Amino acid sequence: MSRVSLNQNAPNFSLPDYTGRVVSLADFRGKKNVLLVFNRTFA
Amino acid sequence: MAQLRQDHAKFIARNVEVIVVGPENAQAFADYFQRESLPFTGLPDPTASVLKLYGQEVNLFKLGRMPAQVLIDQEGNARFVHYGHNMSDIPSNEEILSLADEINGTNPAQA
Repeated sequence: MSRVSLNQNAPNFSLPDYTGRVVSLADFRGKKNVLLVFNRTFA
Repeated sequence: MAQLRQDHAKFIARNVEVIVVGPENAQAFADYFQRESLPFTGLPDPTASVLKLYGQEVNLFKLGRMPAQVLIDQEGNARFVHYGHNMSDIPSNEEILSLADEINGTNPAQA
């Protein structure tokens, strides 16, 4: 299984959350670490 | 998801924002997050735009099929990537938290 090269820039994204607030990865730059969890399904 | 919720305070203490991306729509996210009292940011991604973005740019071809976690530091760099080999294959919170300590430059023993 391929692995991402660590320390490379993570691609930015911008998407509304489930409450309608737009969330961009760039918003956290210089402020917070981000744990991105890709969830397959809630079932 | 319950595993992450259990240690949410520890993620907050390490300045980690947890963002859950999934294929469900906003209503399904709202229902699930409310039912499970999840304190995280939830990003409905029915068109798999983020998934594709990450799949294309970091070659996570199996990302759409299995759970995956990416820890990104404040500089926007990916510092840790975990690919699940099956639906229940997720890294322990301790592993992620200790990496967050490392990123933050703090001693895990003191955290």
